[in-house]
Amino acid sequence: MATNLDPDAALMLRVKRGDVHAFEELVEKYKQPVINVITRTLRDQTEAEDLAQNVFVQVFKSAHRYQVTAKFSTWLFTIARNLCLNEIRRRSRHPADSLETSQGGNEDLPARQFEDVNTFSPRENVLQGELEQKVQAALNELPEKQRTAMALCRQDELSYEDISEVLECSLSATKSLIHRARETLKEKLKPYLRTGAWKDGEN
Amino acid sequence: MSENEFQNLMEVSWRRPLTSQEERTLKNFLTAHPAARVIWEEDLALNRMVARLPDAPVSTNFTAQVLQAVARETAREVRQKPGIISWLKRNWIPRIAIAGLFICAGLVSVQEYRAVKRAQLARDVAAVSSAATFPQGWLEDFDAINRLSQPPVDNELLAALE
Repeated sequence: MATNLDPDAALMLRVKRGDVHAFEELVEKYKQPVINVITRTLRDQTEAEDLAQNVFVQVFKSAHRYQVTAKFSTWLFTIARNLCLNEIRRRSRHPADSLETSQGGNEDLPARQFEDVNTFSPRENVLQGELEQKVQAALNELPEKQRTAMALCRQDELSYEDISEVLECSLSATKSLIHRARETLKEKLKPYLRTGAWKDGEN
Repeated sequence: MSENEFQNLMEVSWRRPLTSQEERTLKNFLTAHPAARVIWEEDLALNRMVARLPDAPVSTNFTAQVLQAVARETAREVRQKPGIISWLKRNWIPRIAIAGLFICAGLVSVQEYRAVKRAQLARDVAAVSSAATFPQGWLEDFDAINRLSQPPVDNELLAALE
């Protein structure tokens, strides 16, 4: 077992022994995928980061319970999904509350600093932005489970089996969820698919 | 290639670009089944659209914030000593066991109290029943003795009253 140990699991075992540097490595590696999945699931960019922070704190606190029986990424995304579901439930009970306001007492924390990642020309930006909005809007209209399945499907490190484990359903049900989500997206984005928008030489 | 294999290739293309071998197989299938080409092209276009969606923004100090949050949590846990109360708060099984113990102790106490009361009652009844069996002749001279203890009749006073 030790010879085939998943590198993330090895890091997690170090975290279990209290190694903060190993934890930092894991956060660095997974912060973007976790925030992506949370953003797609919650449909809320502003609160995704706070929730992602909670996910990693939860990982650190639960490190002593971690068993190398499943892939670390599967375990991590399961925690992320559970926190997302809790947040969705909380919002349905208290629609006016925001996670930001419920996290009071952190005034001493440094303000968030975002990197400017826009490298398109203004004209490309407009077109890109419009199409992104259409795709994003179509994704946002999907039911929660289909949305999460689509988001997890974009994570290279997760196989279909891993995704089904995170979603707590069978492999065929997972594939069916993704298939249905894609059919809905195709229906909604038909004009853009037909005009060949974003067509390029890639596969 | 069968329809099933075509479906499998589509599922593969949702996750990663096809290999050259897979592409060749697909090309042969699409030549033989022109109707499938439309499905494939739509699927491919959607793959591109979804893949082009930008990542959600992440603050540059995200990792530092997480580490700070973890440090705060650790400090809080150290402050909250793992005493018996916090252990009980975290674990519901011992809580139920202790509650059960209290209930059992209460029931035993009630039983014990009833037993003591019953024993006392039995002793009292025994005392009364033993008093009811005086030896014969004990109460024969009761009236005479009772009269002796009464003061003599004051005839003079009776006459004056008359």
